[in-house]
Amino acid sequence: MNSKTENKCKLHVSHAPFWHNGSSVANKHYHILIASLPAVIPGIIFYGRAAVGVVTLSIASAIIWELLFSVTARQKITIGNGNSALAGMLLAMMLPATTPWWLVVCGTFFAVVIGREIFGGLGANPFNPVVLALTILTVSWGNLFDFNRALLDYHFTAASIYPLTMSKAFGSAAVAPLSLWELLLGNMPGGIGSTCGLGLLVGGIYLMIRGFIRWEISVSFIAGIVLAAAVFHIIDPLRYAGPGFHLVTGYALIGAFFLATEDASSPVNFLPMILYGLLGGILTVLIRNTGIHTNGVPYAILLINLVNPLLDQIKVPHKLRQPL
Amino acid sequence: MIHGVFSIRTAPLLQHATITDLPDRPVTIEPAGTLVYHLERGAHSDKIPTADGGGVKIGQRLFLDSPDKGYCLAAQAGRITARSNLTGTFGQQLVEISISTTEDLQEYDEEFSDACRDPSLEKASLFFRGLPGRPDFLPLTDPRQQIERLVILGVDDDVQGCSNGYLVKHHINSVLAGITLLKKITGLSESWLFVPDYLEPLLPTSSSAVRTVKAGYPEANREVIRKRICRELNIPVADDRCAFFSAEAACALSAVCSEDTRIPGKILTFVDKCGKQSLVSTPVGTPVREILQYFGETLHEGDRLVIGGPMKGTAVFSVDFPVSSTTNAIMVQDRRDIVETEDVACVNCGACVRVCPVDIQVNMLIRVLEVGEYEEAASRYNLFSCIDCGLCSYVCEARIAVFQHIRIAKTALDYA
Repeated sequence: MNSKTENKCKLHVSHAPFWHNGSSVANKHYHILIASLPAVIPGIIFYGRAAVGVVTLSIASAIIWELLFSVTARQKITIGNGNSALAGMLLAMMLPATTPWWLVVCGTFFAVVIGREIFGGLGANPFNPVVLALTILTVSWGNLFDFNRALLDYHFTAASIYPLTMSKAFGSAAVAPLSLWELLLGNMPGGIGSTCGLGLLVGGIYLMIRGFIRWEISVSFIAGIVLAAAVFHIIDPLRYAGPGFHLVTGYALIGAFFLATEDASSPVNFLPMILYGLLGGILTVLIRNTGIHTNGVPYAILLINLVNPLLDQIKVPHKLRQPL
Repeated sequence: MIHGVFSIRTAPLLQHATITDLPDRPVTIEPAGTLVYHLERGAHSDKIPTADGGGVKIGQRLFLDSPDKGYCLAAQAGRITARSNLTGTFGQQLVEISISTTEDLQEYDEEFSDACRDPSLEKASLFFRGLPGRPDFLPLTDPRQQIERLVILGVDDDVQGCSNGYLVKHHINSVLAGITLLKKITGLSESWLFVPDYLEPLLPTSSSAVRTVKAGYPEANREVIRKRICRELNIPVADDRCAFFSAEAACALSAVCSEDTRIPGKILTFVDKCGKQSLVSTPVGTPVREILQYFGETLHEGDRLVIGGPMKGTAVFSVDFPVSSTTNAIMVQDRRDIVETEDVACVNCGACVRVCPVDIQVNMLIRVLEVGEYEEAASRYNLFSCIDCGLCSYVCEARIAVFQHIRIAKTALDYA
């Protein structure tokens, strides 16, 4: 080794640590995308081409919105990290299969640009971008989210009318004949990827075991729904449906596994995570049973996103000393 | 301490290297004619007392303004031939001096020999701080600290280091002799020896107060060990009154204070690009170039040379950097194996919070550090509880340089 050539060669100088465990944001996003497939594929099989159109348009437009924003804002192009693809996928999972194309494109614009990029991009969003977009869409074009009207041409075996509308309008007796197992399989009107509860459970459990989402949030979200629904059901069993019904209808399971667990808008400590999830579950049932909306999950998640910074202030005890 | 899936992880994320994987004897690398030392320069002074062309004897102290700021010991005799200014990692002003060693002039510095013959606490502090393992007597000479116990670390605090483990396994008698000598120098009777748990059966039964350290990182961290001692003695951590010495420092002390007063070589682990570890013994001051040459390792554009271990070491820009008295590992990484850090916002995944051994709320800490609010980081988010293990950066999925932010903040507050 000759000293002259050696001095010419520039070494890579950076700071400790020099090892990394290999985890990355992209890896996590792709795993969540894969985990969403068990719920999306049944929807695609049932709704056919219409659903394929919505899902692919949603993913593609989300990626393009991010690309356009990055180019306009002269930022590093990071569409490869899968975050926009994931946002597009999650949004499509909650839309009816008959959603017009422009609504999908608007939705991904709200999710990617309004919900995330203008706040500073990945990690800086105070709300879950997908939920924010969905809420803007439902408030602005509520008639297109009327699943009964939107999915009139499809035939469902478990429930022919959106179960949450039924229970809201006619009380729990109207939904009592519905079999929970059939509802879990998802044969009812609803979003493309949010009705197949079994698929969502499979994906969610995979993500929890691999540590891509925090089990504390998902489990406590579900516990919150079960607790609150049980309380309502015990008080007035005729008017309010039971916990099982609330768990398998609407966006409850997709909310528990895919929406409430979004990193940037959820807490990281144990107790705050439990409180955050419980609060989300309880709010969902409160909105469904006492509010004007049939599906409480989006609003519940926006509200818990709002309290997230406060929850994470709950102090954890310290193991080592303060400076002398 | 380290949580994983469902908050329970059966094995730690990182394990310390074990000496049993390494050969019984280190390879000895003798420098070919040149030794290099980095001396710290005061902020306002560039006085160079060690004149150019001046002769240097074995064991002579090399320093710039005064030895109080720290000094190096010349491992071999020779002449100072070159010096240049350098800036250290956190802006320390350093001066690099080269010594051309001469075969014929190998005689010992008189003051050093005198200290070796009759070591007192004052002399030890003045002359032994540059020995391998850097025995630090400063806390003992400070009357405010009221040191009561010696803690000998037979463990290495970074993942790849094995120097202390090697000495405990193969030279336990000189470690014990060093502890006896330390007790004599300091006048303290209480000593604790921490060794890796797999080496405990090798220790003589008579050695008192031996504690074992598990292989999981960062169990061997000095602050973690301090905490263990305080918990065992049931005293507050602020009142630990411990003076820490590495097993290597104890060995070096017993070596220089023995009959032949020879300064032992620094034991270090060399890790090549494939991750193969080798044990090396070389004088303090040997340029890293010579170790690379010995192992036939060639560096190419974009490769990384790390002095120190993978978690807490320093990447250097030149192969002329020397082995220092605390260099326990030298690591070479191929450019394809380097994981780049990224300048992005924290995604709030919480991996750092779950991995932190002292429960710092790292996700909040990094937010205030990124905007330079160091005071708030210290007062609200326990910046100074950090034990510098680097695990937060190791697990960060956004690949933010969390550990570097923490170190910059600590340095900035220290200067303020």
